Amino acid sequence: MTASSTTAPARAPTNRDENWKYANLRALSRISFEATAADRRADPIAVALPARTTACRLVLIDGEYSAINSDALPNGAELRIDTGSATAESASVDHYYLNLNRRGRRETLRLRVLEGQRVQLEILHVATHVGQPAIEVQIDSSAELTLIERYISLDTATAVTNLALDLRLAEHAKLYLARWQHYASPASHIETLNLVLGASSECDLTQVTSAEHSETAVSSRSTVFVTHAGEGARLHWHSATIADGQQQHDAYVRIDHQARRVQTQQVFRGIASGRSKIGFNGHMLVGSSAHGAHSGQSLKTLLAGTEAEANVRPQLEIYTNEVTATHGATVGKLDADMLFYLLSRGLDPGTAESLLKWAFVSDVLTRLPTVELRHQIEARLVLQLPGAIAARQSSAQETAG
Amino acid sequence: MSENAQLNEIVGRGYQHGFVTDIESESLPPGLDEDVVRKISAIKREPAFLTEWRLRAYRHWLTLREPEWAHVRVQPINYQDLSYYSAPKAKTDGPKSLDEVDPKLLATYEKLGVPLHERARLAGVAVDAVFDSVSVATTFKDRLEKAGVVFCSFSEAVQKHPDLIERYLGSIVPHTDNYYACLNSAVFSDGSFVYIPKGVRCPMELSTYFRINAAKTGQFERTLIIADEGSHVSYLEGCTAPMRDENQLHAAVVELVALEHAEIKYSTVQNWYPGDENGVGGIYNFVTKRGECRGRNSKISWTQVETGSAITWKYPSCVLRGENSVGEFYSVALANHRQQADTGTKMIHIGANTRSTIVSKGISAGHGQNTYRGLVKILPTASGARNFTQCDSLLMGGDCGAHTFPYVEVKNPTATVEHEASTSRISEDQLFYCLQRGIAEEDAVNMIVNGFCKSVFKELPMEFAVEAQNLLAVSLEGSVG
Repeated sequence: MTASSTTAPARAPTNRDENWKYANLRALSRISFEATAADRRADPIAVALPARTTACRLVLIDGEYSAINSDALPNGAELRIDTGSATAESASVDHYYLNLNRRGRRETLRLRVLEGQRVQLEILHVATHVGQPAIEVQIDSSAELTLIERYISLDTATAVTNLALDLRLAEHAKLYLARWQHYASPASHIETLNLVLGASSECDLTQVTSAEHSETAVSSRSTVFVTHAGEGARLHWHSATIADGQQQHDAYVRIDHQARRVQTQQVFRGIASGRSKIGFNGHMLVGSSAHGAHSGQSLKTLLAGTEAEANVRPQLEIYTNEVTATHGATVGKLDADMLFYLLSRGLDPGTAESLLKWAFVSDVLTRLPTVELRHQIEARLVLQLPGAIAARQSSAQETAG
Repeated sequence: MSENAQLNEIVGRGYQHGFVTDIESESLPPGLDEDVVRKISAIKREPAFLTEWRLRAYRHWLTLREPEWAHVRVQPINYQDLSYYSAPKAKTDGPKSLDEVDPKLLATYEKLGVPLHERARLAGVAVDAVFDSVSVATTFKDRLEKAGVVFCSFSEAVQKHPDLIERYLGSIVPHTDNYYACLNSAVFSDGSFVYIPKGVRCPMELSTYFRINAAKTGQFERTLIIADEGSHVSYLEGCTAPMRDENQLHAAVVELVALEHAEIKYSTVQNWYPGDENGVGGIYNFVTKRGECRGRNSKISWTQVETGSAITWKYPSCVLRGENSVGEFYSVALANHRQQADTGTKMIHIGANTRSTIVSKGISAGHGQNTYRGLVKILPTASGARNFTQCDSLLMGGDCGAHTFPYVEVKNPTATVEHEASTSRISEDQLFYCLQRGIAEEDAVNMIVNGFCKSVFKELPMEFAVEAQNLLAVSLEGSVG
């Protein structure tokens, strides 16, 4: 990410900016980030938290580290918390919210996984009001980190999160990153991710975006920059978005291939019900030095609501001929043949549809790095796809019989 | 010969249509203001509504800025430096028959291979040739008139069918549409006009050849095709220009209207001068093409082979308004040397059960940059709409670029939209297989490229398909490797 304090800071994005064409900017423009300073808590609070998905959990409440709720860090990892804002600003319109975070953040969490170590961690973000979390993760060479990031809100007024997440992988490092956004109360979520992959490093990123109830007013925008900086780096990207009611989720993911023999596999699955809107813009950039790069994209969206909307943009920008790049994108309804097959097996239409939706997002769910997390996510999603449990059970019984 | 050398030789072959015809022409002095717009309108003896329309467009153009979103680098254009009207000097008001046309001009068309005159008879093609700004000859008028088909220059249509012009001009591409369409609306000089009456199947292919000859001129032609209920027409368009060191602007507008059960097939082989291998000179081809399937069961099909132009900025589109209407777009775009192409289509589905197909093949060689940009938009009213898009890119050489920027916007849950794309170099296995069979490398590459483009070429009328295939081979000469 380029940052320079000498250039003019970025202006706020508009829907005329290509990468923000489908973002819910009206909701974002109403947010006041100044609230962070005014609402600073005097004392740490203890909150009721969901069950752990890993042995060690760090908790951030409105972007601030909560020692009282957090566990001690396991061996092989270091944590440093620097207070104060950051100054370097970027002129790119895509960094507008990152600039706001830099100006408004109160502390920066710096996590480091030491060379050759293997660490599992959960970072739980609790949003109560307005928070601008800033996290920087450095994974040293040959180290391995399983990081689970969860975003929840306490059942209060509209929560606002403006996250800046910076991840750097040294050579031969491995990162299993699972991100789960699951707000139970009205929330606006904006994030800017920067992921740099060193030589022969590997990142397996799985992301699930959903909300507790269909009527929960949630709006999210994700701006992601991935750079394949070292030869032979690999990225597996799997994300699923399940939107209902009037929820709006939009993501711009730019994956920049700048080294030889790097690989990217990107899978996106979206289900838009009710009057919700889903936008996904996957931008693959293959530079002239990225000989032997391989990139594949599969972006699929199901429209399940009469007024739902999906906007998908699989983009390829290629400057070398030593490359194999493919992409496929579909938007549509459930496959009629599949539905017919299930109905002919005696399933009722509701259950059959839910089962197919479940199968649709399974491409992503099966990639989750820990069983505990997968069970928790499935338990929540199953409430949003009613009938799926029954369908799963009945199909399991059929198989057993 | 090594693979690289062969490719270089294929790519390096020169532009075949770069001659200049020494013909006296009448031009307006460079510059653009309301007076120039009025003068063009006066030369054309246009009715008041058209003059007013031009002026409205000019005033709106002054408020616009050039679009910057395309993936191309354009040298700044000084619009005051261009002449907005250039016509071959004629002794009379206009040629009444081919005999009255300047023989040098006819020689030009012969060099171009335009099937005018006897050649036209052999080819069975009716041709309207537009030279710089003015339509110089239209063939086969009588036979077309018998069928009730109107095929004439735009200026003639303004005089003879002002009602149709007033009704349809700007109804598909309004003068406010975009920067270049707006400029065209203000200063367009001529073009082609086609009207196919109800239930008529046009007895022959209609064809227009566009040629920029004079220096420091822009060409701003306008084409309007109206297919009335139940009619059918196939229209072909070709373009060439001389080799010059300066960039010349071509900003055309094409509007198609297909009423109920009508079908329009519009084919283009674009071979404007692309500039030399260092990117000096060449045509800026900034064109707005759009068709509307206004009636039920209508169909518009665009086929284009884009091998020329220094910069191509062109998105032939279909507005599918009528129920069950069909839009198609088949494209081969080649960017060699320093050429840049940002081209694609828009399919706007408004009516129920509308269908569209997009097949785009991009070939990049040398330092060429080729971009596919396409929008598929399904509006809430388009129940049961369907789209399939396939766009493939072929890279030849390490310094070129191939880019794909599709936009899929769906607002109706009963619609199905599929998009697939791939980018790769010429398969070594395929090449090896051909070489094993004793096929020369250059032929093998041509064969593979032709196979890559086959799904588009088969949509072209026969004589154009052969021309397109040859054109592609010539344009790629020297690029193997």
